[in-house]
Amino acid sequence: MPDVPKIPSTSPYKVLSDVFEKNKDSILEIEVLGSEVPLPEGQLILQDGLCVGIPKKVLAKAFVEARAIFMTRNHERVENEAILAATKVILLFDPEYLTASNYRKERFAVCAGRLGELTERRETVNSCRDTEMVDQELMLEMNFLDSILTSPLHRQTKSPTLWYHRFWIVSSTILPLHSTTLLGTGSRPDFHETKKRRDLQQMKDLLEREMAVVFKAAERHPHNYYAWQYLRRLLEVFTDEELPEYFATQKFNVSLKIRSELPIAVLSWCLANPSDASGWSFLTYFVYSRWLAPTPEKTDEIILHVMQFIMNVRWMGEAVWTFLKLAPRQSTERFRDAILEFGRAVQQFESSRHVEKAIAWMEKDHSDVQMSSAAL
Amino acid sequence: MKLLYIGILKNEEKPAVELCCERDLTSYSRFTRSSVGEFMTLFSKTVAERTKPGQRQDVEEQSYTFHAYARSEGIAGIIISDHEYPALVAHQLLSKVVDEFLSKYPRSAFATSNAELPFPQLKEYITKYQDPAQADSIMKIQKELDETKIVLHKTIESVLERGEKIDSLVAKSDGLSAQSKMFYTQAKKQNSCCVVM
Repeated sequence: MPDVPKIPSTSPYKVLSDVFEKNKDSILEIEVLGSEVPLPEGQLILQDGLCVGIPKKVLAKAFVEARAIFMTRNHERVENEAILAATKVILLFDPEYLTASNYRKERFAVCAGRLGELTERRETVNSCRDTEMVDQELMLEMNFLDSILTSPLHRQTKSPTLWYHRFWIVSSTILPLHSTTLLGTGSRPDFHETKKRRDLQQMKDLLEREMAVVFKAAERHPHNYYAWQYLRRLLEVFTDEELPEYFATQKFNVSLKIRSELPIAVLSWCLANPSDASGWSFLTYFVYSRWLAPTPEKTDEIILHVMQFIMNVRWMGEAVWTFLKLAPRQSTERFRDAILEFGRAVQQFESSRHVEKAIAWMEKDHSDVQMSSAAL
Repeated sequence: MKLLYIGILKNEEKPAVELCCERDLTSYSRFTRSSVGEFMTLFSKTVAERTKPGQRQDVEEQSYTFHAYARSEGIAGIIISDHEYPALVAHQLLSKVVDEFLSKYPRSAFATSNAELPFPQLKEYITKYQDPAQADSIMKIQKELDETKIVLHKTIESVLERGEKIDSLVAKSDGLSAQSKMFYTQAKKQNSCCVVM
């Protein structure tokens, strides 16, 4: 088996991996620089606090070195710091490098397996050994992921491999670790109460953090299907009563938070990025979701905000009007009529094919619904 | 959708002079920010110089739109936004900003001087009007804007005189660093979505 190659201290790989190592407790903002940005003599990268600028050529060279290190790994499940460090640089350059991302999952695999078993048996998850150490490792992993997924890196923020990696980490390890399930027998009750409260708070914090990361990534890369899809899958784990993991979450309180705060946050995002079909698509999913859907009255409120936006800025874009045509099925019956009237009124003073198509769809939908209720 | 720049420029003569401006570069990354800022100033001047008194125009260039409104007093208001920001709202904001500037500074304040004229409201406006719905209050007090009067240009080059080229404007400009000039050449190569580096 080959030895890990010796890396000189001035190599691009060394410089980059040092940046990652020194800032592992924080989230970096990484940018790839074009050749027009001059670097001071002898410097390979630019750094200003947590902002890092890496010239394209330097990143490519660092990747080649990192890959050479990665190739020296053995196939036993023995953790190797040098290999792990190399995977960070590999994934920064090529986020679709699946074997590197799987290598990073390995160190959580044992714990995840055990947590999975406990969840299936509906047992307390307090018994996972060294939870604090795992917690710490998980936090560092999330920092690394955030540094790539929220940076101004056009391709990386939409990486299906990295978003899946994130989902795996959160759903198989973080969520079960902080779940509070049936309490095991023979443990001190006050310990469990404390843990329960702490876990609940951690779940709420987790949800807020994940929403913030998705919003940021969605801004960095418009129409970011993978970011929004991640959020859909995550919410399903939080709320779908039929999934085994559901049992692991403190469902009641967390679900309430999702139902009340999430739609407002998403709506605000959509109104600030009204051309982004993926954002509106997510809001539509939310309104139709079996487990998450707000009440019809709440849906009315959401649609009303959208109508006000359209009026204020005379917005005729397709994404907004697609939402407006699909959402009424989840609103109250009397509001459905109001939406159609609104659409017709807009059509009077603004000609737009998106509006026309939306009205035609709504009218057909409206008459279909009336016909089926008449048939009942 | 974003507002990136609001400025008032003196445009009776070439080169135009920035009398006041405010930028919001937070959506740009740390090491490209300064170049973007420099380009905003250069292109604002270019557009202002070619907007006649009483005229309104929108000029699209790469991922930006330059909204311009010139007055007979010898100034032009310029707003730079992304393509998503509604043009009508941008022009309503321009009317407001230009009116307020001229109330504060009559022509005598800038006719014979190129000095900067502090206009702190710009800082408040560039933050507040990131949400175009805030412009609702402006729409209530101003008279109706005739949208059809706003001329739209698809590139900056279309407002230049025959024979003038953007590339030479960029190359000759004093206000651009060498880095920015190279940045411009690089930026012209459009990156398509999700292509391998």
